[in-house]
Amino acid sequence: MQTQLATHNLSKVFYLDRQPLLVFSDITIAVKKGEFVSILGPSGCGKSTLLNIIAGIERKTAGKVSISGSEKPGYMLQKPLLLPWKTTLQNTMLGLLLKHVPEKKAKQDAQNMLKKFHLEQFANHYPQSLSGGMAQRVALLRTILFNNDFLLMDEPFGALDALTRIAMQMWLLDVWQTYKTTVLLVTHDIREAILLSDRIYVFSNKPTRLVKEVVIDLPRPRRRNMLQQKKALHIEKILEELLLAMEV
Amino acid sequence: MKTKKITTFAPAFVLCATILFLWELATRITQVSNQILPAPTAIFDAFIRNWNTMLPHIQQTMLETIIGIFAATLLGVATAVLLDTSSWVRRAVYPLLITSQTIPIIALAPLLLIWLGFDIWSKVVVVTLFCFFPITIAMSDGFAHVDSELLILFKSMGGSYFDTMRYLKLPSALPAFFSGLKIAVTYSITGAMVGEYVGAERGLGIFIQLSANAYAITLVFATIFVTSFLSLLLFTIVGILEKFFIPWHTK
Repeated sequence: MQTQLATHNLSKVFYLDRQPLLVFSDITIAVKKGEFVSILGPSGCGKSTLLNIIAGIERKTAGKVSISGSEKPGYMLQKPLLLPWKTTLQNTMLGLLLKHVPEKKAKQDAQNMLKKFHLEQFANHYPQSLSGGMAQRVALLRTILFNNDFLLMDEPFGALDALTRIAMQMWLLDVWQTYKTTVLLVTHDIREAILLSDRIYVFSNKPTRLVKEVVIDLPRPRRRNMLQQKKALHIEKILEELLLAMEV
Repeated sequence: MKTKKITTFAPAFVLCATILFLWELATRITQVSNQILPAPTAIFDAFIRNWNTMLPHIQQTMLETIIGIFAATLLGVATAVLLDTSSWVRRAVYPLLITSQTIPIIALAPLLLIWLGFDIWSKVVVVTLFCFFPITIAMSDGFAHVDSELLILFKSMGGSYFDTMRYLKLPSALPAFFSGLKIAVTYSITGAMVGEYVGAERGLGIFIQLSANAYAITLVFATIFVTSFLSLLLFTIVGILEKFFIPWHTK
């Protein structure tokens, strides 16, 4: 299988009042095309910075990042970040407009996308009238419409309540299955990582390093009750102990 | 909705009416001369009787004011966009901008009269100088406070400078722009009158001067009231425009 993303010995140093501050060093990861990979780690371990570098927003200090294809990856953050002065439909087509797709085509594509995932009744609603979960669905569709090959997600469901989060996880799997999208997801929710991923990278804190790689060989399509399987519970226990040890 | 509006303005209305009533009462009790402090009823009476004389002056001043506000809006927004292009430009232009505000415009007005002549343009420039600064500062502030995560989102999607401006920064800065414009329009008529004071054929600035020279104190007061009323009117119009252009903000 082809590689969608590879980093080699990636390092980042921030300067705070001229004092160098190591965010992470020697991060080498790879994500294959169509694979769902999660990065799990304690908060403040530089996961977001890593995604920012892959998304081309921040500059790396050393190392290599290679992404297959010339398209920018879709990037989804914890907040839906919908423009309050645009309707759901207009927000969904934003990425296409920024890629200078003709407005008529962008609108048509966005409409089809909303219809496909049963959000067309919200097409003319403004973001203020959408619930948190609904707004995040629109954000996901906007991101997928921008690039359905490769998706970076930074704790996309972190701000949602538990039930909405579960619904959103299943919905994400649905979208992922439809488009065979490559996903790199940053999260600190162990069960979310197990439920969604093919592989999990575990990062440590201060200094941030890659400490473990876990393959999740649960069958696809995933169901929530698979988390109760012996295999899943075993992985959950290992990961929990690993992460708890870092919090001290 | 309507009853709510009335109750919102009721306290201010009652306060104004009380002040006017006390003023009227005081002038009647003390029998003070109309040449010193005319009663509100005398002012209103003078206003009604001189309406036809005042009207062309009002028109002239409003014309200068409105052109000036438009020019100030263009100049203010353009300056704010310029300041936003880079921190280097900002550091170069900002001190100059502040310094420009320390120049007493009243001292500049005679120069403008010499350069631009007696007709409306010298006054339009004075209005523009009065008004563009609050617009620039407010708009600049609006640009500086665009949601940083939205900027990241736009950057991640490869948004160009022009598209980021159009789809994100300008709409984000609209509420700030309107705050600036509200401050600007309250100054604007005063600005026009300052310009007229120095030399003009028509306008409220000249009218108030002629009235004072003729000891027509009731007319001086009438002009002051008209000026306030017109300023409030402009302020209200901006408020209505604000609700129209940024319905997502006024909730």
